[in-house]
Amino acid sequence: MDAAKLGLWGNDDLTATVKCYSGSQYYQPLPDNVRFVHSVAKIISTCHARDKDELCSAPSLYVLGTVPEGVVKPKREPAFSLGGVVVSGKIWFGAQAMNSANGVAIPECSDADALFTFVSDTLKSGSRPAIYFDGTANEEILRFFPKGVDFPEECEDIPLGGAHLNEATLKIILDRIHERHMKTPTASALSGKLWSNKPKCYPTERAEYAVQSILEIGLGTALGNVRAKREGTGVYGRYDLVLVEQDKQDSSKVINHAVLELKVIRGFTSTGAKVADITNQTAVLKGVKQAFAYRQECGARISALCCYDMRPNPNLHKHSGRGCQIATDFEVEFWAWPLFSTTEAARDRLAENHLNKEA
Amino acid sequence: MNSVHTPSRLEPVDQHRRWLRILSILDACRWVGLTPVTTNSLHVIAYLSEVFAPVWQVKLLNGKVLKQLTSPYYPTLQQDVDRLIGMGLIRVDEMDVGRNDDGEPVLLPKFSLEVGRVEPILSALRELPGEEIDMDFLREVVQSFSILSDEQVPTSMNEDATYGDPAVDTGQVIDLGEWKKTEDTATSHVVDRIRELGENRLTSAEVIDMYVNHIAYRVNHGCR
Repeated sequence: MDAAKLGLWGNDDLTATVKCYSGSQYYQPLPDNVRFVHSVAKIISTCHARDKDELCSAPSLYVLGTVPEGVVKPKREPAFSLGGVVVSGKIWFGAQAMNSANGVAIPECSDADALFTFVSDTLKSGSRPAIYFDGTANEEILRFFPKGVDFPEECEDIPLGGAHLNEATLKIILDRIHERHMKTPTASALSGKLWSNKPKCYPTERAEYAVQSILEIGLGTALGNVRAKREGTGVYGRYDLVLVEQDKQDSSKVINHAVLELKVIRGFTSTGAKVADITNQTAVLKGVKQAFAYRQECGARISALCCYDMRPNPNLHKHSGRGCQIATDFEVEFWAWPLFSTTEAARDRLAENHLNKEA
Repeated sequence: MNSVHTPSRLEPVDQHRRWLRILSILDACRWVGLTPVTTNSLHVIAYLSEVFAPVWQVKLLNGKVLKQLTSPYYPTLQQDVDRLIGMGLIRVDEMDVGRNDDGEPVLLPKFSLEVGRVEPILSALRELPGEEIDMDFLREVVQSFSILSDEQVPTSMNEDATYGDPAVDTGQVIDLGEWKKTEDTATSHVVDRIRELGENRLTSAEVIDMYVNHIAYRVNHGCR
């Protein structure tokens, strides 16, 4: 590009700006809560790498939103997302990306209960999504309150960093996303979009894309500062999702923890044409090889083929785990989950499983 | 100059549209935690929302800015703010005295929204087709802008690719799309370059954030 066209920046190294970007605005299309959790997790993770003792010297609380007017005078910290601010001992208010935040000191001698009461009663912010970090108790966990500290029993523990990620923990996370957000059309707002004709069990044409979107949102919250990155192109083709963690000291470096290849197993096309078994088998075989190749290329520790079975009588999940020899040969995890086109079908399967167990 | 100029761009922008833009910017500032906001910040955000408009594919309101010694200043915007204060939709929270580019004393107020009165207006606005996109855009611009400290803001645009372009002298008008195409500004070219470096997989908010990060880098360290 002609340098003169770039105005004042004609001679600037924009490559470094892009490569060293440590913000979280790639999650722009995701819900506010997901962006908030990921941003806070990244900031805490950076603070942890810079000065663990300081970070863990006192709890800190993060609230999605603004400090109510006239209650306290907060101090704004620009460049908060860069992780150079002393965060412990304060309540931080900010928007989804937490690029800047307003800090309010936690009253002295406050335990978690007193802190939550202060946020609720004095700061009038108990109903806003919040994240509590107490490094004195556990420096590896964030506690996320999606409905705010007014509802302390509705919380989710989110691990910091990707070191905890292994095949077992990842499977648990994916199981939970499936159960809460995908299993039936009513499980979430997005799961309804998986089907073009629910009574007839026809998936939408872009069912794989819808699965990918649901997973991106679910993983975005569950993985803390590890990013679920969609569709990158490599030597061996396009991967579906890769779980990436930015280096806390050098933002130009990343660690690829896992590669997830997604396949939708169909009984029908979106218009009702029958899909042959061999087509699904070929897709699974291809998926195993893709997961293997992308893992090799990314240098990831884990690769998994995640199959979402949208056939009228889904049974692929029975082979989940070690049930697929070719996946075992390639050291690729083979996981499958059933997706039901109606809640009735899901209930029937539940009842059937129950009776089979009793028998 | 673009010979096939669209006549509608010559028409004055609807006053209510300008007012709504100001209220939306201040609402975004409130959401991000920047209020009360200085006059300077308000004008800089207004400028950024103009240069970034093509990134989000939203309409420009002004399409030009007068280059001053320090930072962008829109006389019309200031008049609009005064009107909105008079209407009780914006309130002045603080007032300082400073100096303008010519060294003359000027009042430097800090503003915020009269939330109770403005919220019904903004709620109605959000319901209108396409308006939520504009409001989301402004929130993202303000989020990115918030990385700059209050001390950095007044001179920060001297480090902007377009506003700080040495090819345009102080006192001249910078065309952001009123006459020439919006894609022809230095900012648009930088945005294209950033997208290219990001393998065309960056979100619009990410592009804006990277761009403002680059301004912040230049403010702190000089050119990169």
